[in-house]
Amino acid sequence: MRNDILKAGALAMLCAGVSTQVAAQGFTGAALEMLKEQKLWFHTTNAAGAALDDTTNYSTLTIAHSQLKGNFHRPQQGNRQKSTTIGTEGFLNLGNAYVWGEFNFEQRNVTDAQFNASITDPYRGMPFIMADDHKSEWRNQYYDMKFRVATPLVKQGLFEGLGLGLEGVYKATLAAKQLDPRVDTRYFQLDINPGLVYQFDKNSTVGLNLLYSTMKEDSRMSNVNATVAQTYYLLYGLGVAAQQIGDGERLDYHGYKLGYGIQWEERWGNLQLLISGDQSRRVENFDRDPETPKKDASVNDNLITSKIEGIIHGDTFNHHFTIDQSSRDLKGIQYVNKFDNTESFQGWQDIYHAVRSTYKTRTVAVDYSLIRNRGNEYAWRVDAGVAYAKQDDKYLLPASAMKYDNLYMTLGGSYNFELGKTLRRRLLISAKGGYNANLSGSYTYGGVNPDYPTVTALTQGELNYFTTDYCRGNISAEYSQQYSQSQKMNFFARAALDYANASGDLFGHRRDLTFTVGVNF
Amino acid sequence: MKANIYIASALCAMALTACEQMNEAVDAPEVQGLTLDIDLKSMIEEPITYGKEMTIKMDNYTEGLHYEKTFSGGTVTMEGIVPGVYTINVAGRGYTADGDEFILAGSSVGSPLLASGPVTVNMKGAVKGKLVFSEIYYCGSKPPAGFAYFRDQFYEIANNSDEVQYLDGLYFANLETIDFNKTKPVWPSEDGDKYIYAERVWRIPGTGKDYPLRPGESAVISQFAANHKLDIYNPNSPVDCSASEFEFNMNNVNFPDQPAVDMLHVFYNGNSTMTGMQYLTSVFGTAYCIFRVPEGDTWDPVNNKDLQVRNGANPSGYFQAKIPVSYIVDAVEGIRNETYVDAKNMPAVVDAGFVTMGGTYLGKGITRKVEGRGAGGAVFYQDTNNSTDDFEVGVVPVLHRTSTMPSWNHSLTSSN
Repeated sequence: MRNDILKAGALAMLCAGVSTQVAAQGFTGAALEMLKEQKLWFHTTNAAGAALDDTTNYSTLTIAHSQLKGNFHRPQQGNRQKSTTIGTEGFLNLGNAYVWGEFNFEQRNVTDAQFNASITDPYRGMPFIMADDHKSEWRNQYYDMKFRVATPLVKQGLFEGLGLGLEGVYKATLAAKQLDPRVDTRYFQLDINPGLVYQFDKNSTVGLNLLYSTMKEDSRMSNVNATVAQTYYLLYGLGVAAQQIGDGERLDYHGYKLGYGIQWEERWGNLQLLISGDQSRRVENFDRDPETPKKDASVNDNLITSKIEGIIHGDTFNHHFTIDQSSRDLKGIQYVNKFDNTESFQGWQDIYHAVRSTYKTRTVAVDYSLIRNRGNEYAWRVDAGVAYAKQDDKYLLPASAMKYDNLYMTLGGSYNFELGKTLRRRLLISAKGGYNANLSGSYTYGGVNPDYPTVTALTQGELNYFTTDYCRGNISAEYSQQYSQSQKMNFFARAALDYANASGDLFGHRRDLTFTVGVNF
Repeated sequence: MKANIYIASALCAMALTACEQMNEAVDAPEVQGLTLDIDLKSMIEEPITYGKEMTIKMDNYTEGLHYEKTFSGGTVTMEGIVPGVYTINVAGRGYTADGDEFILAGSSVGSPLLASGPVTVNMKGAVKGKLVFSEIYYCGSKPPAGFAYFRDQFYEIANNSDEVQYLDGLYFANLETIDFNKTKPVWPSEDGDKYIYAERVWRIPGTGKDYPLRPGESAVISQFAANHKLDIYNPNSPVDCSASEFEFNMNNVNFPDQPAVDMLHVFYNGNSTMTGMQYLTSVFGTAYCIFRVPEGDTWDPVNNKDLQVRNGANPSGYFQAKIPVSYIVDAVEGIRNETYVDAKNMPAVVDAGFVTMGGTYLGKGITRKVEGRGAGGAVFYQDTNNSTDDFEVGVVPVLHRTSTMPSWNHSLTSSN
C-alpha cells in the first residue's frame, strides 16, 4: 500500500515537473495566491470547469514544519503537535486537456491527545468511537492525492460549449496511539467526481457534477501490557457511553458518499459571478469485530452547501467576495443485535435500528477582499470577513442536548514589498486579526452514568471550548526571489505565527508556528 | 470489451451496495420510548394472588440502562423504555387461597424489547439452595513490583440451610470464559437447555460424611492455600488462604502442596489427568458451579464420550464436560463488564444474573448478601437465583466473613 502511495506521489510530482518545462513561468507568492483565488471554477467540485478558469501552467513544491502548542483546544486534540509536510501541486495545459494534480504527505506527532482510542480523526463526523481518558501520543501519517482532468470546451457541432471533467481523490492515513489501550488504524478514501459544463455563450455557463466517495477505516486496538486491562468507553454521542474493560477490539468503519453539485456562472462586464451548490449524503457503518461482524451503529450525514463567489476585475483593483452557507444534518443510528447461535450460522443479526442522536450544523460566512493589482501579483490587499456557526445536537432517548452558536469576525491585510527590480525579490507581510464572540451555549445530560469522564470531561470540555470568546492573530512573512533571470523559478521561505488567546479561566492560548520553504514554477 | 464489462459490473455492484446502505440509513425511524405491559404468569400449580410489594427490574447492560418499579398485583406497565435487549427480574410474594405464602421470582434474560406491547414473565416459587457460593475472589491483586498476582483466588461454599450438609463428592466446575469477541459457544441443538458445559471439573474428596458443614459453616477452596501476604508472594494480596479447607493443588514445585485438603481433578479436555502448572480461572470472571450427582446416576465425562462435546463455534477447541442442569446445586457467573452480558454463558435457569468487578487485579471480590440468621446465629444467605441481586460486589475478600470454619479445618485440628 505504502509503495502505491509513493508511486502516486511520484506521479503527481512528475506532473508538476513536466509543467515546469512546458510553462516555465515564475510566480511570486502573491502571484500564485492571486492566480488560485481567481480560478472560481476550481473552487467548486466540478472538475470540468477548468476550461473556464485561467489555464496558465504552474507548479509548486513546498516543505513545511509546524509546531502547535497550548491548551486552548478541543478535548480530543493534542496539547502539542509537530508536523512536517511535503506537498506538490501543478496545473498543466496540454492543449486538448487540462490536468491538475496535488500530492501531500504529512508526518504528524501529536502529544497529550485524549478521548480517542480508535480513529484517526475523531472530528470527521463519526460519533461512535472508542475513547479512553489517558493522555497519549499519536504518530500519524497522511497521504493525500488529488487530480483533475478536463477537456476544453467543444468549439463547434452538436456539443458546442460542452466540457467534461473528472476529479479523483485518494487519501490514506496511518495513525497509531502510543499508550494502552493503543490503536493502529488505517483510513482510506477514494473519491470519483465526474462533471460537465455547458457554456451558452461567453457570459453564461452552467455545470453539473456527481460526487461519489467510498471510505474505510480499519482500527485495531491492543494492549502492549497484556496483563493490565484498560478501561475505555464506547461513545454513543453527547457523553452517552458504555464502559469497556480489556485490550480493545477490532473496529471496522466503512461507508459511501453520494451527491451532486450544480453551478451557474455569469459574467457582466468586469463582474464574474459563480453560484454553486452541492448536496451529498454519506452513510458510514460502524461494525465491531469484522470476523464476526456486529453492526453497532451508522451515521446518515446529509450536507448541503452553497456559495456565491464573485470577482470584479479591474486594472488597478480587484474586488473578491464570497458568501458561503452550509447546512449539515447528521443522524446517529444505533442497532440492536442478537447473536444467531445455530450450528449452520453463528453471527450477529440486526433486529432493530433507530435514530438515537441528531447533530445539526449551520454556517454562514461572508468574506470580502480588496486587492491592489501589480502585474500578475498584488501590491497589497485588505481582507474582512464574518462567519456565523450554530450547532444543535441532541441525544434523543434518554434525552441530552448540547447547543451553541458563535460569531467570528476577521480583518487582515497583506503588503507585498518589492525589494529590488531584479530577480523579482519580494517580501510579503501579512497580518490578520479575529475575534470570536460566543452568543449562547448549553449542555444538559439526561443519560445514565453522569459521572463518566465522557460527560464531565469530554462533552463538557467540548462545550467549554465552543462557548469561549477568543482573540486570534496571524502574522506571516515570506521572502521570495527568482532563481535566475533565465530560469524564472521562484524560491520562497515563509514564517507564520498563529496565536489564539482565550478569555476566561478555562483555557489559556494556542499558538502555531510554521516554517515553509518551497519553489513556485 | 471484456474489461469494460468487468469495470461496469464492478461499478454497478458498488452503486447497488451504496444505495442499499443509503436506503437503510435514510429509512431509519427516530427512536420512541416503549410502553410495556408486563404480565406475570404463575408457574405454581395452585392459583395464587400476588402480593402488594412486587418489584420489577429491567436491565439493558449494553447501554447501562436500568429501570425499577414497585407494584402490586400481577401486571405492571413500564413506560418510556429505550428499545434494546433486557434482562427482566421480578420478585415478590404470592398467596394461595389457603393463606400459604410463596416467595416468587421470575426472570427473562436477553429479551429483545423492540416494540410496545405485552411481555409475559413466568413466575416460580424460589427455592433456596442448601449449599451456596458465599464468597468468590477471582480478580487477583497487584504486587508491589510487576503488575499481576493471581495465585490468591478462592471460592467459599457455605451451608445455607438449618441442617448439616456434607461436602463429600460435591463437584466444582468452571465454564469457558467468554472470549474477547463475546462470541457465544455453539452446543448441540439436541441438548436443548438440559446441560451446561464445563471446561474443568474438580471434586471434593471424602467417603460420604468426612466433610460436614453444620448450619452457619463454610469451606474455602483456594487456588493455592498459602498466606499470600508473605513477601515471597504478594504483600499487597488481601488474603491469607493458609487456613483454607481445600486447594486446587497442581503439583507445582514453585507453589508446593499446602496443608489444605487437595481437590480431586476430574476432567479437563476429555482427560482426568491434571495438565498445567496452575488452576487459574479468568481474572475477568467466568461461570462457576457446584453440583452433585444424584444417587443411582453415573456421571463420568472422561470415559463416557457422550458427555464430552466441543464448542461448535471453535471445533478445534478443547472438549467440554456436559453437566445436566438438574445436577446444579449453585452457580454464579462472573463477566468482564456489563457489556458482555450478551454472551453470558450460564443459562438463566441456574443464574439469571451475573457479577462483574469491572477490572482486574483490584484485590476485590464478591460476597453473598446475608438474609438473616437462624437458631444459634447461623447465617442464611440470599439466594434468588440471580447473582446480580444476591451478591455485593467490590468488597475486600475475607475468608469465612459471615460463616464459621468447620471443625475439621486443618488449622483447628492441628492446633488441638
